[in-house]
Amino acid sequence: MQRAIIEPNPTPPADSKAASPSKPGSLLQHPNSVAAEVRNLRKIYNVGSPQAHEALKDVNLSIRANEFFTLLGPSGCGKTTLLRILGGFEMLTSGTCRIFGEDVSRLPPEARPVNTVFQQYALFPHMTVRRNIAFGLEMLGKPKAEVERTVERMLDLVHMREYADRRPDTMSGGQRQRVALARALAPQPKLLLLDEPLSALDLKLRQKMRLELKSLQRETGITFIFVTHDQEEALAMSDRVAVISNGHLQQVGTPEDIYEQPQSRFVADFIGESNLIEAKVADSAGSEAAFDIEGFGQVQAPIGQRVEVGQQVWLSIRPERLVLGAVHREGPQATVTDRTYLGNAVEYHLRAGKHALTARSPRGGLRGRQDFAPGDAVSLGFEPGSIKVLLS
Amino acid sequence: MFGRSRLGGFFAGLAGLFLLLPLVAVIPFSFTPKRFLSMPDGEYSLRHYLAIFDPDTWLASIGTSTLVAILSSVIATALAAAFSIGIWLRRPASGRFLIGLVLLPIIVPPVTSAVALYFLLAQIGLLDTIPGLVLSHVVMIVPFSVIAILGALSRLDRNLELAARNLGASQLQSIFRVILPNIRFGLFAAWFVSLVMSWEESSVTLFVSGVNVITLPKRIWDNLRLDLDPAVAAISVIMIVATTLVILLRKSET
Repeated sequence: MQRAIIEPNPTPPADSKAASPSKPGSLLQHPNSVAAEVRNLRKIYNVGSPQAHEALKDVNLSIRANEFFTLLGPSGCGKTTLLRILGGFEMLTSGTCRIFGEDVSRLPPEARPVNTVFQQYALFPHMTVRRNIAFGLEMLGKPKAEVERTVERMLDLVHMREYADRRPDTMSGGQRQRVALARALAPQPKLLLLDEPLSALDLKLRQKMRLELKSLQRETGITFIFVTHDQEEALAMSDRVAVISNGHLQQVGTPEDIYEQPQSRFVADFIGESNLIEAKVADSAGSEAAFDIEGFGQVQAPIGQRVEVGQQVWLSIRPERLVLGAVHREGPQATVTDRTYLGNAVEYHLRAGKHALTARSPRGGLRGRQDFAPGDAVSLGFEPGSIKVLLS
Repeated sequence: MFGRSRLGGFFAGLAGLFLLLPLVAVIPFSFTPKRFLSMPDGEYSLRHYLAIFDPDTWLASIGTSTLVAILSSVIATALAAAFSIGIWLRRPASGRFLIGLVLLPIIVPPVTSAVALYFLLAQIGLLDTIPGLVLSHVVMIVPFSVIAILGALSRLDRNLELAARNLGASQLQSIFRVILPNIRFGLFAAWFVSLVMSWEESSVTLFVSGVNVITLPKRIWDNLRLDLDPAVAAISVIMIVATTLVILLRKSET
């Protein structure tokens, strides 16, 4: 854990949030406006000390209003640091951070139109559910009647009316999760930050909460920024995903983009599963190129960027897009080394020269799909457009 | 080693007896009809219990001790809370050093503190006054409060403070509306320990007061040295009974 450097607040703190010129109120944010924007963002912990650690390296990112945006990456990649910088819990080392056009780089957390759902919820244990939800509204100095009205609305929104007068420590994880959401949504923030809010729940509840979160986002129209290391969660809920690794932004795009068009080996490997094969450019003509794979043969693939003949690249193929067939024609071949029955699919582990590959075939052996046993020789086919060429 | 064996219970009982016997021995002394500390021989009297209510001596000292204990425990708890919360929030690089500094009165021999406080109070003209005594007691008991409150804070989820700030609370609001209510038991413990420490403080008290301001421990001390007044035994019995009651009450609560 790092120390949060909180700058002294130049204006009276209680008023600054309420008085900020563009404080919430309306949920109708301009659909095409930019909700959050970071430019050349760098964060170095323990600057100048031997333990100095660069958590974010020159990150540029633009998050649109009304978007469900996910920061995805393995633990320690910097995604949580980015969220904490947006929330004001960490000060950035250099660069700028804007929220709806306003530069918030130097603002303390209470002066930002941003609320957070914490990983362990951080509900106030000495208050009832109702008082927890009212807290943010009271801090904004809302009139009593409005506070009560909003709290009631929030209780309904997250279906927690019957628990309104209970204390958090008497409730289950899922219930606390809902209260944390209601508490963060009550002051109608412009931006809702969610720090792995589902990680403490069991699988069933997690899947249910995914849908609830998504519909909450649609109902409220508030921009959600969601941090997770769970790629399935990210693909299922997000409008757009930013994949982060090692302090670098790897790729930003819709879940389909990220999954179908990975731009780096890291993304291809981290999102879903991929067969990554080293190859050399044999020939390149326009938008197509031929690649030599050692001990395997030659394959054709579309290319998005210029490549030089002889250049070293990586080819990525999803296991479900690798088609196995009986050996009766020219082309790449492999030997089945293992077969795993998965219920809705069959997974084959293959060896082709020095390359180990994985293929997944839906309901192997049924509906005309041929099944194979370990030791069988198979021919490898690639669905059109299934091979992605990765330069890094 | 003895676990739950009968032998273990026996040794534990023996150790308890060894600790309690001197306390119990004082009880008969308090009922002596004589003017001096002695074992009653057949006759019993409550005269020494009545002597405690003498407004010029014992009762005055009980009053002084109560006043000093309440003032210094409240001040010490407030100071300790401010210090501990500051350390907890900011986590300064010098945090360990600062905590060490505050805990010094526990480490340094009481006589050293007493001499230092004596010269300080002499300089500012507060020697043998209630404010001077309260100041001295605060210095001596703050470390115990700090230990109790830092302990309570170490069990507090840091995200609670972040959540409060995130919901628009200023630093001060988050302290009063979130942090303090959540360490209330630690604060109470700190205050209670301070109260008891101040009530029974004698080493520094002997140096910095004694003519105008006489606390209960100081009067007991004087009596033991000069008079051997059985009222000391009576006071001791009352304190033993009070302590036992507190312990029993607490036990029946849980």
